[in-house]
Amino acid sequence: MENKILRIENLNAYYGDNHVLKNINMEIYEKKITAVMGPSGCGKTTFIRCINRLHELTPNAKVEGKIFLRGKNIYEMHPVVVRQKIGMVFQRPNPFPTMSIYDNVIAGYKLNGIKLTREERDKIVKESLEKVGLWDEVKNFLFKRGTFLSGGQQQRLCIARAVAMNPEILLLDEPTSALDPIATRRIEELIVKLKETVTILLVTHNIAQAGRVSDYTAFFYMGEIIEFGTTEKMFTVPENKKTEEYLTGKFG
Amino acid sequence: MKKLRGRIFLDRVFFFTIVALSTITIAPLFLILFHIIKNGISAINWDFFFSLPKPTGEEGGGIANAIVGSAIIVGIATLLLVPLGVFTGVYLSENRETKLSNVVRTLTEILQSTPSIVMGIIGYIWLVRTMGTFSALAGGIALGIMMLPIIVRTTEEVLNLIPEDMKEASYALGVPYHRTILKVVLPAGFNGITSGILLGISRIAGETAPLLFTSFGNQFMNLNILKPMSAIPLVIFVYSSSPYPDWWRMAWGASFILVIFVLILNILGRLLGTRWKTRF
Amino acid sequence: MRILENKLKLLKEELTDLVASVRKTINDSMEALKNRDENLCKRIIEGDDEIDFKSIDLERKVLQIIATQHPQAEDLRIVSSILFINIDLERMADHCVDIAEETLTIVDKPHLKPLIDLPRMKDTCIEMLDGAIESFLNKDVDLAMKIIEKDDILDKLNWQIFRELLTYMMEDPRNIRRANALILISQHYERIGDHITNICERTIYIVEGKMLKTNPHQPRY
Repeated sequence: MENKILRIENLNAYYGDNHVLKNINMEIYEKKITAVMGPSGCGKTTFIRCINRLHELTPNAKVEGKIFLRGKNIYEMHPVVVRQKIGMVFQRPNPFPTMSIYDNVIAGYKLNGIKLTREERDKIVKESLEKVGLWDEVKNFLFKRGTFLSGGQQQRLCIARAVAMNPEILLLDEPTSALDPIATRRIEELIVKLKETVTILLVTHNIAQAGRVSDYTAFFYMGEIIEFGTTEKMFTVPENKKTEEYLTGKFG
Repeated sequence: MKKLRGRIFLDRVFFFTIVALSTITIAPLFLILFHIIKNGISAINWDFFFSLPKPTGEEGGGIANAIVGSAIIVGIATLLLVPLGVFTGVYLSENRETKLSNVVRTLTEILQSTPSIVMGIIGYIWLVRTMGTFSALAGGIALGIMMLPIIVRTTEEVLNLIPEDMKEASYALGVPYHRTILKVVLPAGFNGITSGILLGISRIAGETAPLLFTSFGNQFMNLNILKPMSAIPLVIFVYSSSPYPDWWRMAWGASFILVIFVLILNILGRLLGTRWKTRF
Repeated sequence: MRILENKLKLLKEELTDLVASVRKTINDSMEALKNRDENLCKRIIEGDDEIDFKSIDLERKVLQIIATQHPQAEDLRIVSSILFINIDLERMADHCVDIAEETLTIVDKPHLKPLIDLPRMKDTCIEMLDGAIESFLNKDVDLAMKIIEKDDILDKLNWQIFRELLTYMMEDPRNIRRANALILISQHYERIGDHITNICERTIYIVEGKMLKTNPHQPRY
């Protein structure tokens, strides 16, 4: 029986007067990969930024509705707590340039002033880097700056940084759109491996990627959720005509 | 064919004119440096750095008190006004469009174009009269206020160049705003901000007018910031307008030290600045 | 493991499961005929529904893999071949249903003659099916070619049974009913063999990229 870890209820989001997300109702299954796809401007990025409460930091941004994480409304929790439970990886790799690889991985702890012993720190760094397949590649120069790595490695470092905090949910905002095909494939395989330990929400404008990687897919269009279901079904027998048109490339 | 040759000739003339004019522009700088070095180098000796001025008319002595004084006054300016300037710069960078930030920006620019002598007079009225005495503290504050616009502007520009990505990465880890600024944004801009501070210091190190009205000068070594203190620009001013050739020599020496100091700070500041720029 | 590799592995397992069902049905069909077992015949006919469901399910899974993973080159040939093999397997099961229906028409009367060649045909079919699937899973072209040659045996046995039963029919008109049924059953086993050779042709296609069309015992590229 698949557990539902996140329930989104009547979510509406605004940038000033612009009604960007219209009455979104959705549930996310635990330890599965849910892809959110749709043409540019459909609201998919705004959607995940509402889930880790990053959206409200933009000036003139407004959010209405409820999002329940394991039954608790995240809008009634302190945003800092929410963001420690729901991690995010961004479109362009953005390791902290003033920190070494080691420090980047435990940045979430260091910057929050969470005290750890030397052993605990080493353990977290090693495990996180192993989870993303970087450990062997960087173990001999953990104290070099993160910005010397290739694009794909930097992105994996950012994933390690997010994963080190042991979040319940990992939000990925078009994580491979800035990378070459081989780096993209490695990260896709990594995402599939990661779902064993963390629920994943993946925003992508690449339909093929959504198909390859995800268990469930949500199709957004003009701020509304048009269809949601298992990827295998949606890609072979979509229920909604708009979904069919998007998949067959008639628009977007 | 004739037209073409004419054009090529014009090109050459134009080119040489530009080179000549540029040389003429740089020439004064080199002449000044040359002059200062030529006249000042003879005054430089161990005594010059480490002894106090001799009473009027006597030969010898040094400007140890001025060197120490300049260091203290510039130190006060830095300690008091740099944190203020950096945080103002942070505020302006974080709030680009608000009414308050626009007002602050305009006022900062006005502050920058205020003549240094006006600064001196204001310093006299606000600080010297209130405290009842000339003091190094007043001098430091006056100089600091002159340095403030540079710090604010450099900090704001440096922080504006930091990609929004980096702050969002920090927020996404659950790091609150104040820690993000202190531990992520400022360290990222560290080189650029330091470069701005060094340039600011080099700018005020040689300011004389404000000090005339605030710090005033002192024949003796004084470490009490609530009392008048000597400084290198003051020494240059006083000695060069005196009738003693020995003092003129020392004025050249002081000028020499000052110019070297400002030059070094300037070069360091720019070096740090370019190293920082390649970071992202 | 690559995402696609994983999914292909699961797909092949489903295929093997379908093959096991069809194999059992072939064996059952001969059991029902030998033992004149009316109930087994009925079970074979009803059991075909289950095989049809499995077959439809397999097709659906193949389409999902094509839609979501975009297999290329050899992977694409494997996946598309599974679609064709699926059809052949389903047809083979249908032939078994036909055999059971023919059996039902003569189940009340004793056997015309001891069954020797028909069981041999069935055994050859089973051997061929096992070999065909093994060659598919291991991409073994040599084995595939051997299995294709074995189809000869089925053709010859079919012809032999026909000639023998012809004499029975000419001898006594009361034999015609049973003889005819046996001739038809023999033809069904021969068709089953043809379907199995199709599976072997798919294996060769996967490995060599060329379709081998075997028509009356003459390989032609």
